[in-house]
Amino acid sequence: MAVRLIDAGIVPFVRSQSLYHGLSYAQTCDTPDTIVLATPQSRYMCIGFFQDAAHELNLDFCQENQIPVIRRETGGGAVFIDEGQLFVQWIFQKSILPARSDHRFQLFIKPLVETYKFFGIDAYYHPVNDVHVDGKKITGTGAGTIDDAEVVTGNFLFDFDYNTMVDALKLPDEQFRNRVKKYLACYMTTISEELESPPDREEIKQIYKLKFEEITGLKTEYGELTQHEISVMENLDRKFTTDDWNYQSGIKGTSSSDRLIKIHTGVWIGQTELLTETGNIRAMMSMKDNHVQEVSLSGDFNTTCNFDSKAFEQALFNTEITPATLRKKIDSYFDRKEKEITGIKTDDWVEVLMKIKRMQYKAAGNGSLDEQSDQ
Amino acid sequence: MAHEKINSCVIVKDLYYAVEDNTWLKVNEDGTVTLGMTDIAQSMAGPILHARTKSAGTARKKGRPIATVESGKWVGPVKSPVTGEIVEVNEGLAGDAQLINRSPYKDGWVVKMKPENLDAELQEMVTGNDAVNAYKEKIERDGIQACQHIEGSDAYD
Repeated sequence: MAVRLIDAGIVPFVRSQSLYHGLSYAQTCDTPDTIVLATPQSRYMCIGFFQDAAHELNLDFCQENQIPVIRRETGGGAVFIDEGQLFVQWIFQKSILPARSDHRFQLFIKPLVETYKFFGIDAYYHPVNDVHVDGKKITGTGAGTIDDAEVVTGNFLFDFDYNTMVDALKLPDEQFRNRVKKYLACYMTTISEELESPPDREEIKQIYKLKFEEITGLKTEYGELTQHEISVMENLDRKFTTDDWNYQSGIKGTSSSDRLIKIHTGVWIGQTELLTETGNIRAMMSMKDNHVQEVSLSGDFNTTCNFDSKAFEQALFNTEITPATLRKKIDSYFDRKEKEITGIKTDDWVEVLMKIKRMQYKAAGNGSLDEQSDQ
Repeated sequence: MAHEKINSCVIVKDLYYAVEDNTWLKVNEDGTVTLGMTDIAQSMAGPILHARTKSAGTARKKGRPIATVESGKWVGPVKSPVTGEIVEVNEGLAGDAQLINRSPYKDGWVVKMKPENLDAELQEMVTGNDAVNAYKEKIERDGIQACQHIEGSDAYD
């Protein structure tokens, strides 16, 4: 049976989510594997199934700027979605996709990569589930099981409104917000940024269809939604626009002072606080591939001693984020500067930075960080 | 617990398994059943970030979700292998979803149910050496990698 290709065109924002959810719930063993291509008509914020909208989003900003919120039934973090994105959604029977998730992502990503390449963008697969161009993320993907259907989703990113996305997130302060904006601009890219003359969406769709067939060996046929599928989607449209669904309580994290934002697989920004004998110290740290990119430190130490925190922050650049390497770097910095910081011990500095690392490690789905091996 | 390892994946032999959904069932003395994810399921999901169970008192049909779990790579349902009512949920999962990774057959159980049609539904599950053989076949057919166990996982020698 050929894969059904549904070119849904431009759809209301809520339908861009209810399409793949609805196709999943309506799937029977006779339903053909289906690919949906769709563009949302207007912008919205989309939160993961386990998230708490009030904890993740700047709801006042969203309301003032008429940015609706939808909770999806799949995982991951809050994302900003608008008409600059062409969604690619696979809703497949279990039997056809690889059982291993890494193989599944690779299969999904190959036709995306080859399509980007066809248009002159030097895209490549970045494990586990991203597409990168010269170290910048251009496509992220997600996977899940909805009812009995296996779903993989991704997109072609034509344009991205970085500022609105970041303004719509609930972040601890403007410094953190500016850091996230800076890193998104550095570590994300779009078709419009990569090409002087971006291709028409219709061209992208045609080439994607060809590349999918070449890579998978499966034929595709344009198809339509059934009445039953449309009916299921209409029910979901209603559900996804109710406050009861979208604003239900979710995971709130462990502390109001902790915040972590993923820029892409290897790049994260986190902030936390630590109570020391002197008082609170707060650290914001940007991390790339487990190395410090930027650290900003504040807290009670500023008022208790003559401490050049900027020089200290710069000294930590590119340090591997393990207790042993951080301790060595910090001890060596204070030896060299012959400065003493009253009340703030090396272990406190190490701990506040490792707290952020542990948050990142857990959020990345790596389990608990085994620091014993780093000592 | 009598068990066997296939490709480092633990199969406890006195449990019942719904092999395709990767869930296990234990029959309790009070007539309830305890349900959970298999070692293979936790390994394929990877370290689990969040788990949300259906509430106690919820009626479930066989094949319907009793919980939703999210890992870094996947989100999906844990499906009930029996029809019945959820009578108890593992409250520990809300604060530490990786209990499922560390102890899929003990502390990481998901819910307890009062089954309606247990004898018939057990006939559709496998146990003992049949379960071991069914999983051998599945692991080979699906190309499942050796099971990964995070730090602190239950030991099976």
